[in-house]
Amino acid sequence: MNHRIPRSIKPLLWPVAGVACMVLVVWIMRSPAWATTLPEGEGVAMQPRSAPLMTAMDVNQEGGTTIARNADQTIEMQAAPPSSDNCIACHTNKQKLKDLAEEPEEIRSEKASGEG
Amino acid sequence: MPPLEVWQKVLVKEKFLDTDIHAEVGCITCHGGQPDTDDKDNAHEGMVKKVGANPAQTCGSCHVDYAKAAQTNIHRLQTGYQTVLAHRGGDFTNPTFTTAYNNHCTGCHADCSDCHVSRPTALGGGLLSGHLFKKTASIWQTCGGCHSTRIADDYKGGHEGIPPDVHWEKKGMLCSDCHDDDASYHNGSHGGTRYEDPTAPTCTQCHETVAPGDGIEQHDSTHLDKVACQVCHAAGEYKSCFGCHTGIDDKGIKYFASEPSQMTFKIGRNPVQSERHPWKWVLLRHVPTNKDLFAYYGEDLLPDFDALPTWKFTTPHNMRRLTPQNERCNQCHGQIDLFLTEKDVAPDERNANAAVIVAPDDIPQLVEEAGP
Repeated sequence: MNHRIPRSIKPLLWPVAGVACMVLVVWIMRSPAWATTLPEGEGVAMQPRSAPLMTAMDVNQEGGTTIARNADQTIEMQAAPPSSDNCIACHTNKQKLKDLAEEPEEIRSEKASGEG
Repeated sequence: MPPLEVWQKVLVKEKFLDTDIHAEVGCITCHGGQPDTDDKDNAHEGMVKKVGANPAQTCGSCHVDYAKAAQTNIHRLQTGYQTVLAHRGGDFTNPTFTTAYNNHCTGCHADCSDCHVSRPTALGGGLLSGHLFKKTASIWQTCGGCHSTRIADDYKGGHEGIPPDVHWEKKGMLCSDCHDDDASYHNGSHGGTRYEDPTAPTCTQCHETVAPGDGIEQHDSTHLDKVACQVCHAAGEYKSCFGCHTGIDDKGIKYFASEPSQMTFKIGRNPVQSERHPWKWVLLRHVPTNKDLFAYYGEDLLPDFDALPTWKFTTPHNMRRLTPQNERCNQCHGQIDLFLTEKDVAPDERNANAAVIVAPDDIPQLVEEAGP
């Protein structure tokens, strides 16, 4: 049986062989899946924008006192914010707010006088 | 300015919801509270009213740099109060002293939301404009809400017989047109009082041609080097306060009581002479502090009270080009009533004010004037 390669294909053999070798080398040299790093920004944790990492501050509601502590190095991605529908329904309804308003207890002392 | 009705304080504008980017995160992200109920009490459980008080967790989640800088902001930490009280011997490690300070001084604390969203506590609080965020604070409701009788009333001519500041009357300038230094609003790394802020505004920042030979006779080197601008250009008297006492009444309500304020105009020696404030003569204003400020809480809580004057360096905001005292030389020279002399100072405050009181012999004498 004669297995002669057609004359018209012969010039393509060496380039095809070269490309096949290069594909083989790349396939052998690539990192295994477990060592592949995700592109920046696609992980479960991300940096808060481009600003430097901040230090957290706590101030009590009366104001004045500050307590500094180190912030975590990353911020977990947030789930969708909780629904504000109930808040909005009330706080945009003038009549409802009037009906629910409670006058605060007297906070000015009878002994108070003068300008602040 | 009258306080808002209770319901007005918390009414949110549709415009805020429709146009303000801050609305996109929803109410609960910043304020907390319970989303799944429309019962008022239950919905407000765990809610935080003043979210700006903790900028790192609220404003700071986007405005990172501002929140970080706010940690040392003078409006937020009141470093001015702390500096002068410590100078008078106030011991911030003494629980009695800090109780008095927290009860009566920290009400002037202002955080992010006090300028950009809400009216200050001094005006009864409440939203400025239906929760819309204001990039520039409102001159009358926020800046002027706290700095009221001693700044805002000067500036808009609120004191009978004293004209408004020319910067307001003629140019309509807002506070932030001059006070554009970030230190005052967003960081306070300079510490101390506002007069120690190296970036605080100066008159010559705009009026840069003021110098000897500028065509104004009184702008000679003697006057410019020795006399603060306000001495000649303050339009008249400004408010001084006296005799503040603090305490807690029978009902447990904290209060302060001060003596009636007075309109004063007093030139004195400069108690804060420095490269930024080089003059010999400045205007002085009496501040409400006194030795018995915290006497309700204990004795001698300000043991070094006399270390600072009670007539303090001041820069009234009622500036005009032409004023009664700069009309002619002898409207100021020889006018003993314009100067703070010993008779103007209460006997028990004379030690504290020794450095600023003017001896009659030191008052610039009458000069020979040309013309009628």
